[in-house]
Amino acid sequence: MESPLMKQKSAAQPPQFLAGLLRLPSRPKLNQQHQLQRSFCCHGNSVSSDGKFFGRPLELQPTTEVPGLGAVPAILAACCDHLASHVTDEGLFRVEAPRSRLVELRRQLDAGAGVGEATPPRDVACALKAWLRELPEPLLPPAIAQELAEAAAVGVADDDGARARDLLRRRCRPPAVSPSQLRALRHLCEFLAKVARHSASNRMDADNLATCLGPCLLRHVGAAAAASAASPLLPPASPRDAVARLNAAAALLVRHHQALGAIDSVTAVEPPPPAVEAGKRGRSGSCSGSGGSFAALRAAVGRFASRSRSRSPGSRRGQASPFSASSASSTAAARAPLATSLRNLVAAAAAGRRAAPLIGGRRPSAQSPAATVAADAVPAEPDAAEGRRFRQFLLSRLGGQEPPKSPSSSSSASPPSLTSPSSPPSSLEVSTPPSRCRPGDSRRRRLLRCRRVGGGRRGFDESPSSGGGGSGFSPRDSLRALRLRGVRRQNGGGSGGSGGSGSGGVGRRWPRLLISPSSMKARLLRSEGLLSSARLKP
Amino acid sequence: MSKSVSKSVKPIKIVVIGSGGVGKSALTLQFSKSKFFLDYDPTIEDSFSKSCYIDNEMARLDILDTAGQEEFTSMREQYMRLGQAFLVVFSVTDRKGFEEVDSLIQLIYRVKDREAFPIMVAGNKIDLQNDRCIDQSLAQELVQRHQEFNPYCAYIETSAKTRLNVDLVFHDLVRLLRLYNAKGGSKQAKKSKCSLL
Repeated sequence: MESPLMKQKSAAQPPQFLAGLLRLPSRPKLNQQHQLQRSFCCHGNSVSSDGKFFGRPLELQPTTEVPGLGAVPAILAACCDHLASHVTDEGLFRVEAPRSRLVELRRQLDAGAGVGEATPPRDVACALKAWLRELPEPLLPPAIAQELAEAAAVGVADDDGARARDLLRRRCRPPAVSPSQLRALRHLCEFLAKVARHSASNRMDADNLATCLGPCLLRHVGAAAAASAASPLLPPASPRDAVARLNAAAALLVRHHQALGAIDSVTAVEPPPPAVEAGKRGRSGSCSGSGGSFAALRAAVGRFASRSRSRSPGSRRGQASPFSASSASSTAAARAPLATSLRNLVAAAAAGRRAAPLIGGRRPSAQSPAATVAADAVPAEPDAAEGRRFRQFLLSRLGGQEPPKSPSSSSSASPPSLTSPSSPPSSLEVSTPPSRCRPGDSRRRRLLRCRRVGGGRRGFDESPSSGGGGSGFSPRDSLRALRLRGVRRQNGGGSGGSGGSGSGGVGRRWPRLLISPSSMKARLLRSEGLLSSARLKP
Repeated sequence: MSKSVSKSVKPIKIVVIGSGGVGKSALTLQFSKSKFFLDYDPTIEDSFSKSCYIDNEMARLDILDTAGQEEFTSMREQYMRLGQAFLVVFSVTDRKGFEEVDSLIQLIYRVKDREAFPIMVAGNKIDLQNDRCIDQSLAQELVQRHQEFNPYCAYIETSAKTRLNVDLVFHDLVRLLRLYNAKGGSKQAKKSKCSLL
């Protein structure tokens, strides 16, 4: 038997007896190559550099003065300057540069030589990404990134990035983020927003940029799992989902970079607006979650219910739980949220759909003072202790947290959190803002349906620079939705066959996921009256 | 019908890899949905499923479309471990993508701990003849170099836009896999372990 392996060995290896003794790896080159790849892709610590920039702490890097902002790392300024004249290049930051050229450019930059005029823009973009990756500390601290991710999860349903802007304004200030980080972050995000403004020609809108740059900017591929484990809102997710989540955060960062400008002169910290201050106090009352937790839960459940009416996105690989649908879009955070919380919630829903008002009145008709009682009377199905814990969780999380957009209530409402006994627990209705929720509901559904079908990350306001007036629903989306729905119908009419997609997923991407009749999801849907028999597993 | 068949046939896990922006998703979507999407969304990870007859034999393909950007390389090994056959895509208009092909193939061997594995190399975007910078001969040469020790490796030029060879590339990959399985390739080519310990 002549194996190709044997042939190769005899050609390249030391004598047979030696090879037999030592069993040298048949291709030692692989090892090195792998190492190289790791060092490129990993989180920077492994790359030691004697230069001025790559892998050095931000504070130690030489800086350049940028008008209106102050000192930012020279490499960042140089790269942005160079790329500024190439913002219309298609796939900027997406298309990669040949490694050989990149190594050369890194050396050049590290020596402080700046960027040559003729350097291809993709090389510079790649070098910039590498620099970001290799910073000892990510530009945005993981805690803030996590909060942003939570804001991203609810952003589409609730506001036009108001939460994200508020969060950035509130949290991105010197104690949490060092001034040098802040200046660098702001410079970078301003530049990225500029790139995104040219998305008609370079095809890199904020979402695309976030997908390509998010991993460098927020440094999450490794850290995301830990961060999302720490988040009380978002369930543990596959690495891929965690990446998508934080990419959504990066997109918000690009979109709302102006909010970073609230600390324009980083040295002179102006007092924040009173409403924000109130929100801050509310935060400190409950533990570590973001101000968005209330709306997050509400939106997530609403989304979950409306999504389940048609097909459910879910990849084959994510079938561990019916909730753990993984998705390509940045709303993965919202699609697969709260698996554990929801499981408890199912019990409440089964007890007469009275938990819905508890989490924000998705069902306004059922909104009555009895809701609180009902919530208390909910039989804790999995086990009593868990149910109690969940109720406490709801109370502490939802009770005092309201969307920052309603300033009148935000100043008056006190968190009935169990951790802050000073304030008497107010009725839960105080915290449910029905006026905000109801009119937006149908639009939200429409949007969600569209997003589901389109599968894109376009739910946020399209123009990255808009101060917050974006509707969150662009004509492009609806067109895409219609087109794709048409496609789906065609596929369905074709009735499988060898040509048709074997699974017929949501829109263009997701295989259909049948649910088992006894699953939690099925029970939740049944209680909502949304379950069709076609979705059940035979 | 597809349901009963798909139950009886074990899905084949195909992983599509390649540098960023070379058209992995376009190729996959063209194959699975028969559409050329003009979107420009960088992929993180997507999966598709399609059933078809190849050589009068039913095949259920689970296609995993992956991210090309360097930032996502840490996810690479994970899905490489799952894959049964690989489609390595590069763009004939992009030198970087081509340079990456070799290291990707090496990585497959490494992760799979095999000297031979079903791998299809696809030179995409050949509709853009004017921007072409990778000659067919260049790619052929690369693949021939690999064929010396991996007989289950082949090269095809494709165009996701015009649907040229799109079906062929996936079907050939399945054929390669069948050949590989039939020859007991998995046992034969497994690297021998240390016999001393």
